[in-house]
Amino acid sequence: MAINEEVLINRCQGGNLKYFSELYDLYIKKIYEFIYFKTHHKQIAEDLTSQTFLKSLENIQKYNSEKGRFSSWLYAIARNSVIDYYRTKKHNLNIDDAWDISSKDNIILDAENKEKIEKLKTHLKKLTGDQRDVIILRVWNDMSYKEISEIMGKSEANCKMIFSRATEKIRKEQIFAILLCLLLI
Amino acid sequence: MSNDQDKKIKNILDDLYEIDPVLEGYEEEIKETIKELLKSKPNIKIDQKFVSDLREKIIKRVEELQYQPQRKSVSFWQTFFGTKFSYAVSGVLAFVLFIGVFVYLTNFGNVSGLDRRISEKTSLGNNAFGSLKSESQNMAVSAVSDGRGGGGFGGGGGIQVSTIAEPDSAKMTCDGVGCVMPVYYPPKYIYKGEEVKLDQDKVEVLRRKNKLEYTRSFSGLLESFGFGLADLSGFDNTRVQTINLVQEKEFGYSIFVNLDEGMISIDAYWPKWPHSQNRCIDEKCIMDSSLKSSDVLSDEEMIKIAKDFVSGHKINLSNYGEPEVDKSWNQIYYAQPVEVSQIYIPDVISVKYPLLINGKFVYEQGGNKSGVSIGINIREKKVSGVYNLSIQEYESSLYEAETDFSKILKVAEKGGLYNYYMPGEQVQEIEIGAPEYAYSIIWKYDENAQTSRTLLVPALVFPIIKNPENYFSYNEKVVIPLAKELLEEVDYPIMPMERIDVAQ
Repeated sequence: MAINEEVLINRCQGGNLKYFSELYDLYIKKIYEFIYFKTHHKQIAEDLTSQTFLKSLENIQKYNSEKGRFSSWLYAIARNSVIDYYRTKKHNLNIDDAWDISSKDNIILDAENKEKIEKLKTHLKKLTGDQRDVIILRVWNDMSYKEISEIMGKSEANCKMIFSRATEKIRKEQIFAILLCLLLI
Repeated sequence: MSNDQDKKIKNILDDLYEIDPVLEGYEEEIKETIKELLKSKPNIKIDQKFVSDLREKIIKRVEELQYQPQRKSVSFWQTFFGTKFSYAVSGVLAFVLFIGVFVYLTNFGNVSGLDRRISEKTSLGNNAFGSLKSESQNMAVSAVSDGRGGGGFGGGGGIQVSTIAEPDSAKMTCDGVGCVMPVYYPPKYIYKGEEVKLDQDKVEVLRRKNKLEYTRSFSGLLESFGFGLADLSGFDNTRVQTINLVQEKEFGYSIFVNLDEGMISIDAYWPKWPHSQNRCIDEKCIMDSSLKSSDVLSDEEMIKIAKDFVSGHKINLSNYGEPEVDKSWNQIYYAQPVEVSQIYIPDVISVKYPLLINGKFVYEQGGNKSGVSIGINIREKKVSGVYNLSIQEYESSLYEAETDFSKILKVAEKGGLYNYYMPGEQVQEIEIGAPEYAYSIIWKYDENAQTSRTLLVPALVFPIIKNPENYFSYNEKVVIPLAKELLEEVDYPIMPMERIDVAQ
């Protein structure tokens, strides 16, 4: 019998944490993907995905459905885990994720996606962390602005504005042309 | 480019134009940018070994967390044993009980002790519970286990007799005093579904662990309050078995904790509840103060009252399904044409949270779902009781399963395992449909321990899909356990007792 997400969460919050494994099954792939988009590295993505799920398990009592969806809460934990990871590692408050790290800065990239990421990075690096997150969540993770706003802790309108500015920035800098050239090589 | 991608890009563009219509002038450029971003999405293949390793890690962490004290669970006890604790009992007694409960609960490393027991299972060897059948008919089968009356006409536990109305005299007759039930003929249940393939040769039978292993001695503490009547310290090896507390306030409750049974029940503490009919000195007053059908609350209202009480007292119902209003009190009236004015409206109607084990409902033999019942006093619009709230910790053992569907149908034809019937030439046919997998609840009396044990046996539950005209039966479903030994030699006609002449 399939149990819906709300029931699973209620059971976990009621003390029956064994149902958390079903929530894990629902979200492992999505959360891993999101973290990978921000770290570009399998091992780091796996470590941070583990951290995300263990943190959410231990803090599930704090999740409040009135404040947003469970998925948004989970993504927010993932996002913060990535930020914490880079800020702790690099001792730099301006680093949000791997996009912020210079290629010269000994960043390890997975061989499979290395070329793609290196090319994209030149341009996405020029965006702010928030702008990149909104683009990743909207374009790659196919999320609604409502979900994005819950994850980012910003209003829906603000997230739309962030996306609009990021797109405009990319357009103005003719990232498209550069990307196209690079991708055609 | 796929249609999906086109649609996605269009949605993104529409959102952008909503924010900044100027961007519409750069549509082609932006469209290409988004297309390229989509193309550039890294290929991600999640390592399945990582997924399964992390899953295992999470399960281990869940186990660790479940054995840690959970602060949130304290409040249920605090509510009743803490600030709202009755001062009617002597201070010393209260102190001893409180310490006893506290020590008892913390003895398990969990202040509540309830949370971590829910749905815990311990696997034992095959046939570990002995015969599932009870010697000397001690296995009680109950249509009603939670203290409410069956269909508003008494009911209770014991043997269930399947009955059906005779068509010619099926109408129930009522007068000012009450209603008279019609004559009944035995039913025969006819299966109308497809054959069910039963390929499991074993079934996992569960037995509820009802005994809480708390044995701390209280003899030393008892010394101080013998009230001068006896020296209670002389009673060694004492332990707390039951606790009964009352709330000395308007609409207070009486809370009964049975540590031996691992059960809690909450009842209205009647001295503190109003009794409007008690003030009546004549029949007119009684009739006037009786509830009318218009006083019955809607299902939504009753469920809300139950839910508010459950959440207000942090009653842990995480192993239970969505609450349902128990309609059995008026089922008989729906089945039979009677004057609305004749209907007796009970003060209390139950809302039931059905128990779910491994995602399956648990059925009593009468076809009702087993679970926690919450009595709603519709006169006062308050919860008047919580029944059958028990610790859900189980041991499991494999038993031989019945794999021959025709044998199952043979038992289903009679209406169930212990569906005693009156032998007779005339029967009424009831149609039953394709079954669902569920658990059947069975009580087995343990003669050594002098207690009854709750067994959950995997079962097929057949819904009744068509009743004869003017039909009435308490059965809603036909429940057939899948353990082979339970299905052997099922034939229990009620044998009339021999007439004993008074003169003899």
